[in-house]
Amino acid sequence: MDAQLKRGVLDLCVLSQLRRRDMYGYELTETIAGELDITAGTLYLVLKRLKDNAYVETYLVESSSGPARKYYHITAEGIRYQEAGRKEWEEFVERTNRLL
Amino acid sequence: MKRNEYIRALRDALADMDHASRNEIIEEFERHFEEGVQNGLSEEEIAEELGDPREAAGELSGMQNHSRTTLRDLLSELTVSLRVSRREEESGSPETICGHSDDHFEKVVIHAVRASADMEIRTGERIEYIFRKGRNLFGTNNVRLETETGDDTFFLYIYDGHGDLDLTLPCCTDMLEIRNPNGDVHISEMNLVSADINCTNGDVTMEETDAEKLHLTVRHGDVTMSDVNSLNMVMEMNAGDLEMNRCSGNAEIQTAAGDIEIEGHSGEKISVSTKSGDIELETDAPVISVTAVSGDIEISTPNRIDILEAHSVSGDIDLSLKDPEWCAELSTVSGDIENRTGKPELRSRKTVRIGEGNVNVYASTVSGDITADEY
Repeated sequence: MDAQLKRGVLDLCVLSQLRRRDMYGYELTETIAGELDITAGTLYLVLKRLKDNAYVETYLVESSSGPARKYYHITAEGIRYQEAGRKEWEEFVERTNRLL
Repeated sequence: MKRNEYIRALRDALADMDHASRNEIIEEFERHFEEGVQNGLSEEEIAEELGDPREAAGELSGMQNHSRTTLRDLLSELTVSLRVSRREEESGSPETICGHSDDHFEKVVIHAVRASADMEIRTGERIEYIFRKGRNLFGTNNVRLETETGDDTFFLYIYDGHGDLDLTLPCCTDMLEIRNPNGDVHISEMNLVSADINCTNGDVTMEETDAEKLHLTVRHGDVTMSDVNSLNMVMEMNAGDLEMNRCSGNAEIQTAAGDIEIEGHSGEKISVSTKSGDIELETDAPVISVTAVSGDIEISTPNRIDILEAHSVSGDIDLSLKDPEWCAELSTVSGDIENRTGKPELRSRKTVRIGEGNVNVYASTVSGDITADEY
């Protein structure tokens, strides 16, 4: 249960970040692993799963100074999933707060 | 762990995965190492940050099966489990606090202070209380009970917590006073001289109880009374509904938003008022006064009438009367007035007078309709 919930929340966080702008892996790990108690490695696997589910797609951008960066872009389906997830999350928090 | 070593461990951890997917993931980890090195981190530091590759892979295992499980499912499951654990807490076998007194007291006072309690009160052999402590999620229910005795008075205080109180009082108890900010109060089969009950957030139920003087203040809860006899009852309510069955006594009832339903009331006089609730009143009291602002009013009385007054601003008024002598003056500004009785009527522009003799029934509304009928 906990692991599953964590996955759901991670999905929501990653997709929410990507709705602001496309990001590459390293910067996503810096943003999210900093806030949530997960390792950067876990996040790459979350990204992979989101990609397999067609919530995100990727493209490579060559960099003059370093390695090519793989950018993640949220798809229309990803946006729908994020919106539904966010609504669910807010309702859940509200219900929980009433019980606390 | 060095980069090569880490990537090797990752490859092992992802051994079950198809070739293309595994390579895609490994590439991302490789890029992460490169970005990290560019940012001045050592390979060991980066490996640390990436975390145990087996743990990362573990996040994925079993994930495929659940990948379509939505957050909705997860959260509703969690909510259900929260509810269940709450119910378990409530219905478990929590600690109890008990006590009793064999002395006779004229008055019993129960106060819940920073506490919420559902109270069950009835007649018994002696003063005896059983308090079942409610359990908290964090085990912080430090509820305390204290008793005190003064001149002819027994005090029971409930402090800082929550639970259920079962209380019996001997029949010699004349006066009962209850202050319960959060919780229901249920009183049955008591014979009192006076009862004063003040609740903020709970429901009050009274059954088969006599109290010469009855004063009820209930802010948000509902009040249900059946077979309650009182010489004088005063009820001040705010948002809850009131239901009264077969009760007697002069009554003065006020509510702001709740509905009022009174059936089989008897007494000398009754006055009922509400702002936005509806009123349904059946009484044999000869003196009746009912006012509403936006609610509808229905009054039926099988008895003679000394004076009946009913006023609403935007609600309808339905009267059902039996007194052979009744004579009514009904008025509305924009509504209709209907006379369903065989009595003669005299109509002017806004007022209808039904019957002959001295007027004992007055009803007025601004925008509602008025109907008069025989009981």
